[in-house]
Amino acid sequence: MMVGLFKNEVKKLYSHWRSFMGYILFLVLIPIIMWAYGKGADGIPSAFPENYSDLFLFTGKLNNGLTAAYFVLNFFWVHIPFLIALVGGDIFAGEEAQGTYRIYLTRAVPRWKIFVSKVLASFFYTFTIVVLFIIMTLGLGLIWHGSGDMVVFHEGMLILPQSEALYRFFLAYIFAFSNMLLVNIIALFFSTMVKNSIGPMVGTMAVIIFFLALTSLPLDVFDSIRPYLFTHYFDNWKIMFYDPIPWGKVVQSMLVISGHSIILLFAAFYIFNRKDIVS
Amino acid sequence: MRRLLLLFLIISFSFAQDDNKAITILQGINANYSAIQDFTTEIKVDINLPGFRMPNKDVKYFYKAPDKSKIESKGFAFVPKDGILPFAELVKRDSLKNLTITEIIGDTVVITLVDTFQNQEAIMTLKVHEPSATIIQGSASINNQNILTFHIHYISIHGIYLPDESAIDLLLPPDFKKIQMLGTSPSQAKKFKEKIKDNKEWVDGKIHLKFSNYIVNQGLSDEIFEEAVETVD
Repeated sequence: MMVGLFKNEVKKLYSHWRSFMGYILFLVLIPIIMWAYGKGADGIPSAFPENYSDLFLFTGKLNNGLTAAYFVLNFFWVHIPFLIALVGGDIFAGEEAQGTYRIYLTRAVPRWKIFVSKVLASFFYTFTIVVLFIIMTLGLGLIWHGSGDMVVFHEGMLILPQSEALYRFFLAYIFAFSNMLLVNIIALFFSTMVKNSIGPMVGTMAVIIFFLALTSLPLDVFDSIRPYLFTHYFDNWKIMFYDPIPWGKVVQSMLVISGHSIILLFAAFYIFNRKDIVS
Repeated sequence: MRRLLLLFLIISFSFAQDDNKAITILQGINANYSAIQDFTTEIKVDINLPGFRMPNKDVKYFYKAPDKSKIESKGFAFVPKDGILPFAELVKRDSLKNLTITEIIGDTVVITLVDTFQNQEAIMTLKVHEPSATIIQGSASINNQNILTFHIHYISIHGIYLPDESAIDLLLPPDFKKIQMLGTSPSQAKKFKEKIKDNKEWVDGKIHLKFSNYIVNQGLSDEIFEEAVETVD
């Protein structure tokens, strides 16, 4: 039964054109960025004083698919949440707005199963968005700009060999996926509370923007509260490219992100389970 | 008056002798380089520059006389030219400014001269092992600061001396510290800028090269060098 419910939810999810916005955006925008990257990115951005570069013989290039993928990831991590919120925010509230809850919830299917199927469907969407993102950044980047060593900016310049860089990307994408799941869960949580899908979408974005502002504003007064904000860990996928990887920080980030996710997921279930359907 | 004239002649003669000896030594180094028509070698490169971290690299170096060279590596790499055939261009020249022998310690002769280095006038000091006609230590000094120093151990291959190991010390301008700001948050960058604002100390860097698997005078094709070497600005 669960599989049937899940399939049904996925079908409903993709019946809205907005669900395809994320895919379309990636399919159009990332190739443009990749093209522009090939036209204008610098390899070693004047790291060596000009006079000194004459002293050396260089080989290989740092402008390659791996560096391009890192560059795009750096740019997009703050935007993907909005695409996720567009879909997650609709998954419960959309039913209520259309009045289909009354029919759906009066069938002999336990509410928890409906909840789980909806959550899994939205997780599936998040997963496909991240997979497409990987294909469009790393895959397209490697095809378009070739492979090689990767340059990472962390307290200077760090050159990662290709094999090491691919492993780091794998870890970074897992981390990014867990962050996106949290965004999805926030949208789901809001979605269980209201009767139209605009509210959860805007609400999720507002929460993210608010927390991101507190996280990124270079004001010392917010230093003490930052560790408690989930957005503080949003760009922690970058630490997967540090040398050495600060595993302590990775574990702390994962605990905060998964802690938020679990609490909000249970809260969403609690609200959904007790919901009085009057529409 | 005669004594003064004699003293002047003796001093002039001894300086001329000094110059001649220095020229002869440089010619000896050039003769060693001239015996090389081409060679390839594998180099293990270990770079240690503050704010620039790169794993040790295995690089293949190609050289063909008189001035073709290139490196190949899996991924990105760079090697300092003077760590391989030090001052190869300089010792070819007919005239050199202020060429002087400043010290002789057993088989080793220290020669100084003035030349252009990084578009500035620099004092070059070459410590030459006379029997093998090899530069075992060299430095370039601008405004009394040693910008570049290298120590090289050689091995003899078919009677030609080629580097076995090179250690290069670089002194980079204070601005080079800014590289450490890359990838830091705006607040960290601000703090770092404050920290280095009054610090005008130059930055030390070290590069170590270990050579192996030389193949000398095998008749390298020019085509190897035709392929554009990918450089990074």
